[in-house]
Amino acid sequence: MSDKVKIAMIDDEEDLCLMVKANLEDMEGYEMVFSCHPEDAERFVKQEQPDVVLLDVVMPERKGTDVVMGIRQDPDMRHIPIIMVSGKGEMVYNNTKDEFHWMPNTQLVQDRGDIPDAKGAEALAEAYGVNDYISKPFTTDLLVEVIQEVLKRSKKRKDPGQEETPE
Amino acid sequence: MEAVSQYMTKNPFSIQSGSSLADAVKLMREKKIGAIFINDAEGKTLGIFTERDLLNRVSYDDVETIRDLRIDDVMTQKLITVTDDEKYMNVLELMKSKNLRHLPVMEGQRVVGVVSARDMMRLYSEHLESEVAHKESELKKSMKKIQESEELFRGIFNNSAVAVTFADANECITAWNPYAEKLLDMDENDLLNKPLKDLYDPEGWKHIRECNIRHYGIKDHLETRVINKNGEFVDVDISISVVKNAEGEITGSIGVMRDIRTRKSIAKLLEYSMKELEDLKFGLDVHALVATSDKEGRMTYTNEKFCETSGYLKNELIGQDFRFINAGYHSKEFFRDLWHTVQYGKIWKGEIKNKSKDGSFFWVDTTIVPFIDVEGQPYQYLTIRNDVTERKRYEEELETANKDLATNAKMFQGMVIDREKINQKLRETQKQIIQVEKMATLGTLAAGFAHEIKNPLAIILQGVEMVEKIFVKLEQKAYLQYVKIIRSAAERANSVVTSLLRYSRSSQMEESEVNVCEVIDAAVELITNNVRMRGINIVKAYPADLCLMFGDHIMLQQVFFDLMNNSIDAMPNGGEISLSVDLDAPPNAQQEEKNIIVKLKDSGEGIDEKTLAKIFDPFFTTKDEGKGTGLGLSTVFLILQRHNGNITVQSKKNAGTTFTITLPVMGKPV
Repeated sequence: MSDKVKIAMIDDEEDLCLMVKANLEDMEGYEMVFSCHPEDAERFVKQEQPDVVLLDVVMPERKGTDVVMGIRQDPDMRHIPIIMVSGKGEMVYNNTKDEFHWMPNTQLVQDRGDIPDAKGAEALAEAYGVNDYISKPFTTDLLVEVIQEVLKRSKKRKDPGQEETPE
Repeated sequence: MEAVSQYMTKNPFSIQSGSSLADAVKLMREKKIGAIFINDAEGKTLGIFTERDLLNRVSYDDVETIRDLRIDDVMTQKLITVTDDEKYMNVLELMKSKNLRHLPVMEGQRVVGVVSARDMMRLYSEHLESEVAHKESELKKSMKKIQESEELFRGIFNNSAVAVTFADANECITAWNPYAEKLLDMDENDLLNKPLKDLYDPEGWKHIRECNIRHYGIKDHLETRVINKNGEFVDVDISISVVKNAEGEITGSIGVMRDIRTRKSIAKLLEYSMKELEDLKFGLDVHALVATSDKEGRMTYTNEKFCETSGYLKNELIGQDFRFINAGYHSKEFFRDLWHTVQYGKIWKGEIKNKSKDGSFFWVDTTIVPFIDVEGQPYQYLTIRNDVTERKRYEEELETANKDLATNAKMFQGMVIDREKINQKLRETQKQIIQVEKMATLGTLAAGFAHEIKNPLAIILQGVEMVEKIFVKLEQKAYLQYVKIIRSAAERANSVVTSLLRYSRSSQMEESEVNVCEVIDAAVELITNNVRMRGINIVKAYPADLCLMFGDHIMLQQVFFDLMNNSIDAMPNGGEISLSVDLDAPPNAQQEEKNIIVKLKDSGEGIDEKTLAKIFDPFFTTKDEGKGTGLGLSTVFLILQRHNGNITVQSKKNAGTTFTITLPVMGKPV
């Protein structure tokens, strides 16, 4: 394993994958692999063993949430943080109900303003089994920021005795 | 004139040939005659002896000689004669030319008469007298005719309603008729010798001069104005003829003026009437749906408002009959009665429900006026309709409301019910239903394609980023501005698509028990930073009771968030947002049913009336192009509709805006 952070992207849009890869690898310290075949996603992740998985939610062949379940059920992969990518909109954390909503509201969560605090991320994990999300279209800067946050949180979780690993 | 036989002296005196001159002279003296004929024994005339012959003889011969002379020696033998049928003028001519005093009239060889110069003179004078008498009587007749004719013309001249003036060669008035005095308000002192020029203003006079009147007069009438005694203008129609003498010199002119003030004022009146008609038409066009149709009832004309209300284009309507817009609401008898009325030339009035192109119904208060031809048959119908859809709806609602009121009367005994308030609410509901229908269509559409656009947008924006980096690396910084343009365009597209998505999602709700005050608090929390930065105060007033309802927490939060963000935008220089929540029973509610009324008031720049009417329409925005999508308030509206609530707005320019949101307490959304 190199020093670089390895990202595995699963998205049926090959052009997008190519672009994201080019931009991400242009930053220092990142490498990216991708697959445009969600039906084969688990095998791909297991083989690549990335630091972070970037997973599209809405794909024609297969639902992203199914892929999440597949990864989480495999002991070889269940520890890998997943960042959900969606064109559906933003996610909003509902304080009173302690859960997330898909909220296609740019103003409310402009630049992801109020969410992924620790509690929000936990709720997200509980609801969807993922560690964070990012909505299409996104900038490379934002992607890197989200990746770093996810890595920081998963490290924290690992250190105090690996409790609360998301299902 | 008579023949010679009529005036000759018949059987003139004669003497036998061979008689002495003395006897002849003696006879002439006795009979006082100037001439004597000499006959032979057979009565044949041989010659004539006249006083002149005697005088001639006396002057040449001595008396002795004369005494012895025989008549035959001194008579004139060559006789110049005429027959008794010779014409007077020939006789006269003959006597004059031959210097004759006596002309014998012969019948064969014998003299039968003589014409003397005296006879001729007498006859001539007689003839002359009769000629004069004849001429005199002719003259008298002519004079009488002239007199009559003059009287006639004087009558016309004096009594006609046109002013006639005569002017001399110096263009000064010499004569005029009474009407001229009347027209010009002048009397003899004013008019006599008045220069024509003084009757006109300089321009009018110039114009008359230009017409070259001195030579040709004015044959065609000229409209001008003349100045009366008081210096006022009188509109006249004038024609001028030039009077010339035998030598062709101008001796004066005759002007004929007609007062056309009445005609002018009628023309003005007509113009005014036309204008008034036009105004009326304009007023009618603005106010009503106007159409004309032929005798078969096919439309031949429709005004703008007709098209606007019916939703049809003019050419779609022309040629169609009334059934074209029939809503199928009225009975056949209804239309039969209508048709029957107008066909017999009577005006029909009534209210008709019609159907517009988009399928919506509209009520019109209709008046049909048949235009009748000379035979009394209608040849055209004018239809004036007033759109009374609102009133009809109101009436229907009122009826429903009245029914409800009657059913619930017992329950609400003693309660004072403000009927106007109910009707108001009903009208609002009606409006909102239309709004919701509009929005629902859009929502379905939006959900379909919004997501499909997100992926390509993501690719574009990633690509832009890459291109940007390449230009930086290649040190081609000049191109970066173009990249920036592409990026901002793609971002704008993204923002529109996001709004659309959000708009369509507002129909998918996750319901739970929600405390409205908490929702507001959460929304306020989100804008805290923004508000603080702009110097805006937030004032909250909540009731003591819990304001619980069923609803989607996030969506409701979005409602208040959006509304407050709009308020913030309206107060760039700071201000106040006041939020008040109240519990209020709706007018005809069950005991448990109450409304939560939230008033959100800002001190911003306000909204003008025009904008206010469209404020909840999808894609209506007052923000600059690219800044707003025009979906914010429509989404708010839609979310509240889904919660069985509604929203109204009151605003005045520069006097702030108040949104009033009504939500049912514990009411389950549909």
